[in-house]
Amino acid sequence: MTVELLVQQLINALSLGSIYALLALGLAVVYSVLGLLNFAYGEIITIAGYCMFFLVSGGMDFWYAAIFGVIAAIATSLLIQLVAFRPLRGAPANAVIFASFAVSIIIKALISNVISPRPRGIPVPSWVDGVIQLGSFRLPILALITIAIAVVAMVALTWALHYSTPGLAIRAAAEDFTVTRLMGAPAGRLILLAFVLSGILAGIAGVLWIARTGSVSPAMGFTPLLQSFIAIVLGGLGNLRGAVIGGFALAFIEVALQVLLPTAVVPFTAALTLVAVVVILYFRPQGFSKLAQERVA
Amino acid sequence: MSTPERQLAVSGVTMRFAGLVALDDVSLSLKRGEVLGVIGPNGSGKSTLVNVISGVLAPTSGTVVIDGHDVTAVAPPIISRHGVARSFQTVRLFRRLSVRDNVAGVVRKAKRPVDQIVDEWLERLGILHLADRLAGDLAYGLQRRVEIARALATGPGYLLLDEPAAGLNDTESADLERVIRSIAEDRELDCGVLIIDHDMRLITSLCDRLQVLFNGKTIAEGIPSDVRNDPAVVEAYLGTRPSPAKG
Amino acid sequence: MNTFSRRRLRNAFITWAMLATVFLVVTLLAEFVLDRGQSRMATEFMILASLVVAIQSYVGNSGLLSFGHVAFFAVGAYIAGLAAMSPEKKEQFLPNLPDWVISLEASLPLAILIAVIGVAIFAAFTGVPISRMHQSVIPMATLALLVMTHTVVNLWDDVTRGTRGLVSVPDLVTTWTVFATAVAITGAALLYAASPAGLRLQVVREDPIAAAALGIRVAATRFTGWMVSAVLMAIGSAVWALNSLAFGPEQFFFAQTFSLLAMLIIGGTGSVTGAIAGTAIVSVINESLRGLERGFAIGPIQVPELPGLIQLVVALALLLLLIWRPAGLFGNRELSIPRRRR
Ligand SMILES: Nc1ncnc2c1ncn2[C@@H]1O[C@H](COP(=O)(O)OP(=O)(O)O)[C@@H](O)[C@H]1O
Ligand SMILES: [Mg+2]
Repeated sequence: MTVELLVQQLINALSLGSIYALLALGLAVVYSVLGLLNFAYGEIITIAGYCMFFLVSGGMDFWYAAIFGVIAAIATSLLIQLVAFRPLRGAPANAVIFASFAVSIIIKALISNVISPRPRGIPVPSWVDGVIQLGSFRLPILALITIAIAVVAMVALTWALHYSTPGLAIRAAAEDFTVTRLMGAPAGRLILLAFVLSGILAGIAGVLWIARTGSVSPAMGFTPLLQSFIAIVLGGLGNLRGAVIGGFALAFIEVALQVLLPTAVVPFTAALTLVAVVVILYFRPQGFSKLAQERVA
Repeated sequence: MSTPERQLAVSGVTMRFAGLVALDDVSLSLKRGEVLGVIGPNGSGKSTLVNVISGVLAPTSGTVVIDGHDVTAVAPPIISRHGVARSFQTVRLFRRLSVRDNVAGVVRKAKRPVDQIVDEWLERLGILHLADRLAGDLAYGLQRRVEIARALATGPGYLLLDEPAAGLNDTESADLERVIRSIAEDRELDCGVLIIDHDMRLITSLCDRLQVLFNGKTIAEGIPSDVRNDPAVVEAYLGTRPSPAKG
Repeated sequence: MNTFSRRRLRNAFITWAMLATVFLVVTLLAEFVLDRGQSRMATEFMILASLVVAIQSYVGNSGLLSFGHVAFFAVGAYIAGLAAMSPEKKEQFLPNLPDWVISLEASLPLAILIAVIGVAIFAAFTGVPISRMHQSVIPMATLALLVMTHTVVNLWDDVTRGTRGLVSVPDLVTTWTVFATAVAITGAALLYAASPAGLRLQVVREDPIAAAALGIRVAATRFTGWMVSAVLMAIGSAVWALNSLAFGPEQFFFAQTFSLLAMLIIGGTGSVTGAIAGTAIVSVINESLRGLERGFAIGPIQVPELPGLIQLVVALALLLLLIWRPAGLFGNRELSIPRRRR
């Protein structure tokens, strides 16, 4: 492989990793406060996508529509909390998990019935698909935008988690959620905040994801859900830094498999990525960082 | 060690949590049939010590040896098989199972029918009449007894009780004292008891020896009457008001 | 044997006898009273109930929601279907199968046995890493397992015929074999729940940390439950396959998972009785809405086809039910003789 190709794949992996990292952060924020995974998380991205689809079809600029997409994501996240999580506070984990799964099914069924079961294209501005020629290196503009936006979002998040009171509360929960949970159920405000944050992160990641795929469909949320889950498991549960590490690790595994595998098995990349992840977890059940020590006061 | 001595030996254990030293070079020994009291103000590292012995936490350094086997940082189920059983400071029962199943669930090997064994333990702890109730529905004091019955059903050589009398009233506490004494004196069980508590009356009357922790260090040990009058202890522990709050 | 609690065994046996009676009544109705269509529904109900009970034996005892059992379902159904299909049909539809697979023409018991072995191997490989995970991520890991299995079934043309699915699977199943399957799986699930291994899994469900400190090996205990449940699932899947005659990958994906888990959760994950009751309830909802889903007319207004209507209704009903009764209709209670008052 030439240096040029290597650099190109590296940028590809970095931009995919940025999306995965944001996605994983959004899932991890709620997980760290509630100790539960939100199975309707993918539908936040779906709704953001359809919102953008209608606005862009109506003539709005892609990036303006993206802002509304993020707002729709926040609204969806809050709706999920209102319908699936809030009424079931204190219920067995299975019930809550299945409720969020049911919400995901409902959203998918509604979109299939009311809009269409088939995918729809979103025209992405053509300059986004261009490349910057730098000597012999070809740098895809979208990848650079993705990395830049993700870096800004993560820096902003880090700042908020370190210097704002609610941010500190979330971080305390994320760092050692068993401790926070031992000190009583998390306050309603904290949960609400976690879902808002989750919506923002999923929204930003969703916009970048859609810019990459250029289409929306009722089941589009599933891959992001799965990837963010794998990322947080890979990164070690219950800490936000791990989600970011896991996101990038997953992207690198995926890109590496795509480059290295023979073409015949490329359709199986997703399955093989999972196998790779399972193998890693087999040797490191806690992922790349240690699970916060269970505290047994 | 040629003839492994039948005792639980902790030597030089240090436990560090991100910057905080919860245990600092702590050693102790517990023989079968002996009752050892571990006391100290809240946050002095008592629960952490129990967590280290029972394998819930791996110590930063130091060793735990049971009957001659080094079990430092070994997984909890294996330590349990070496004969260590424990209760938790905040009661941790299997809440949606019956009292009977709480105990039956941890019985490993049985020479007699398990129902019979379970009934005997419940009888001994005076909770046989509650056998079919859900453990989570019981009053706090009764939950404590279920926890002890459950620990005993694993057939331990060493029983670690983390504040078993906290939250009990005087009669309950007196009952508990009787139960613990009967366990320690039971030749057939041949079980040593390590008990953590803030109730000095209970501790003094129950324990053969006391060990006092303060800020993760052992500051005194010996027979109760000596320890109670040890100036360091008076200063560190009795000087501060023993608070009933969980630490 | 001393570690088996007589008391738990006796209760399990009573529940089993009562549930078997229910299945017997359904079977007798199907054989002698109902018309062909209704009788087919009765048979399908018993097969689905077997599958839901198989899932319950893991989910109920471990407290861990599994989306992966439909992966076992797929593997079991395809293996049984392939084993039982006639060599001629295999030559015709799946010429690229290895010769020893083509030449095989298994009877019902043999097909079930092969499916059980295949699923057990699959479950063993997946169960080891999954059982070691933190309990809060196991549900999502099982969902990943489902997706991975679906991808492979979908793409492995030479063995599964991909999206076209298996056809010409022989019908080797009678109402009575279905009855026997349901009674056997129910009995096995109740026996497991009453066994020391089942009790240990319930103990781990309640508090893994306390369980470990009291000598219970958490991962091994979960793994045992996973394997027991997978084997039961394999038996149910094989019978399902040899009753269905043709099936494709879409039958082993989200819709099926949702439907089976809805049955389990509506009835209450904690009991075998609940699993069966939930299956009955969701089956009735499904049947009554099936007509509506194809489109209908209110006076002059023609309502178009509504794919996914059933799912939508079941999902909404389920949300409301969970809010009202988070532990499902039966909770942890089994069918049994009312206890005498003391
Ligand atoms: N898992 C843990 N993570 C971080 N700090 C802990 C943990 N467990 C205990 N500690 C800290 O260690 C110290 C000793 O605690 P503990 O052993 O519970 O004291 P005690 O039981 O004597 O009241 C305390 O400062 C406590 O906050
Ligand atoms: Mg303590």
